[in-house]
Amino acid sequence: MTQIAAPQIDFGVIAPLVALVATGLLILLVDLVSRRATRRMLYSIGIAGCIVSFVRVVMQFGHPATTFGGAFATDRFSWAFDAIILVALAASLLLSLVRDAEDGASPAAYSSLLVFCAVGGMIMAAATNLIVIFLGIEQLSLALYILAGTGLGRPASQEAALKYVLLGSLASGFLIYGSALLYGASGSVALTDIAHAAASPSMLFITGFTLFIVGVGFKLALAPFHVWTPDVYEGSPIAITAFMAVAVKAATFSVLARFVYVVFGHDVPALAPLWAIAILSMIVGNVGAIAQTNLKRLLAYSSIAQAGYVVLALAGVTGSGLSTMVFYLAAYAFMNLGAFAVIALVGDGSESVADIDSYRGMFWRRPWVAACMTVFMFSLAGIPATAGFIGKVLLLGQAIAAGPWGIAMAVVLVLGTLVSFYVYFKVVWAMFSPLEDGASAPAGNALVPWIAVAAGVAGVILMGVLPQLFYSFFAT
Amino acid sequence: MPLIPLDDYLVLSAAMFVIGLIGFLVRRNPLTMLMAVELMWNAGNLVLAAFARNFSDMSGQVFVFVVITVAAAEAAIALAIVVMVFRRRPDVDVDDISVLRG
Repeated sequence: MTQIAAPQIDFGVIAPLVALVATGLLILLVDLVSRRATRRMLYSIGIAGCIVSFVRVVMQFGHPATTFGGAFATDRFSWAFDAIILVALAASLLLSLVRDAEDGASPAAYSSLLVFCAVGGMIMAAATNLIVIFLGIEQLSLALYILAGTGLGRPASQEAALKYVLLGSLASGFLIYGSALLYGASGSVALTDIAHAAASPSMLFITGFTLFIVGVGFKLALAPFHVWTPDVYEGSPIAITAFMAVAVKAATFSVLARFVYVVFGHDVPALAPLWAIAILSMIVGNVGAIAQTNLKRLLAYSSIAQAGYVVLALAGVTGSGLSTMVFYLAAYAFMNLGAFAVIALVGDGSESVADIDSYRGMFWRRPWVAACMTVFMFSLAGIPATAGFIGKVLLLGQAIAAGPWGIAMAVVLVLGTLVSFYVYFKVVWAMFSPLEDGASAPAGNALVPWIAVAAGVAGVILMGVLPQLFYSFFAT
Repeated sequence: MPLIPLDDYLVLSAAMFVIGLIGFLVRRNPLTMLMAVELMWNAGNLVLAAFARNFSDMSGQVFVFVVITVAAAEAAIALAIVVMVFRRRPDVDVDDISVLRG
């Protein structure tokens, strides 16, 4: 009789994921057995699970390990992305608490799906094999398709879900076909084996890699694969938009970075399509943001441009690139979560208060809200003393040292930043312009989003003033 | 028994992928668009299975099973969303879905 060896699974390595999965199941169970389970209670369980998972990640520091036959690897790189994803999850759960009618019919399903989304993101951050990458991406995406449509009362939310699921599946189609061709070119699904095929790339390899990049580009909302982004960001509930903007982007960048570093390991001509779509994204994102009058759409275009910026960290494929990428994504997480928290704060359950016009004169009514939003806008624009500025300086340094493509990207980054000054200052200008008579003040003064706003401000300023603290922590 | 060369599988799968992509771009019915996407996913499956046989390697076959499983979950979710969106509409056409400016 043939014996089949049981797989060796090191549960210490996957402990943060186990904690999150248990949290998601616990939420569902509590909702099932307890009639008195309130929304507040379910979301609190979610946040507690987040903290437990975060502690488990921190406990792994200094002990890189692999399990599942090397398909799942935890290292400095995955820890950094796990941290970003967990912060985004906690912020998203906090923001969800304010929205009374926005979590669809069931707060338990909503919060557990959000937790399972984060599990998918953390799988992606640790995946070293095409199958696990695909599994992580789908775990993240499938739950998000549903969450995008949880604003049941609003047609815009349903429309966002439909657009997201259609274009998300299309992206997965590219990803699968690309992965299949890469498998064909290398004979293995492990990234380390694919690296051998990358040394002398065949036509099959180049085609597969290009299709893989198209799929990843869709998920990252890089131009020209960004068309779904503004609609989905605008239509989805605000807490979900915040999660999409931060966690999905961070997780997908972790896949892209691991792929580029493990498979290529140095700059190669095959990466040219990646640099080209980065340049296009910076142009489309910044120019597209100019005409926007809705803050959520503005932040969507902003995220397209920011995704383009992050690609610069990969330019040259050098060791410092990874720390630069992690630094910029952490800065990006703080400023975006903060900005979305401000929108949730002003909206207070209603989704309609994202028009820039309703922020007119905000400073004279609610100076703290306006001050915090100004910090986030300055950081997105890249004003000194904010995290965004340091991040952009690091990116520029990375790109300039990386040959002609790098210099081209650096030039576009500078030009794009100049254009984006107009975009972000338009918001700040509106908040500081004098009050108009008879204009109604946006309601809402919930305490909960303030936690996220305060954390965002603290993160942005701390990373802007003492960047070496974060940089040395993430340095690989 | 005649042997089918690997290249034939690749050509067939490339045709499936392109037909799926064109179908997705041309059709305006979300159900047809989803079917077109399924065709693209299965084009990938065919490549994986063909290469797995060629290499006599299991990982490609495992990948196919993972893709099939995910495709089932994805179809369930996508159809639920389509039903949710079009419950109050007489016709199923993505061009009617235009609250957002996209």
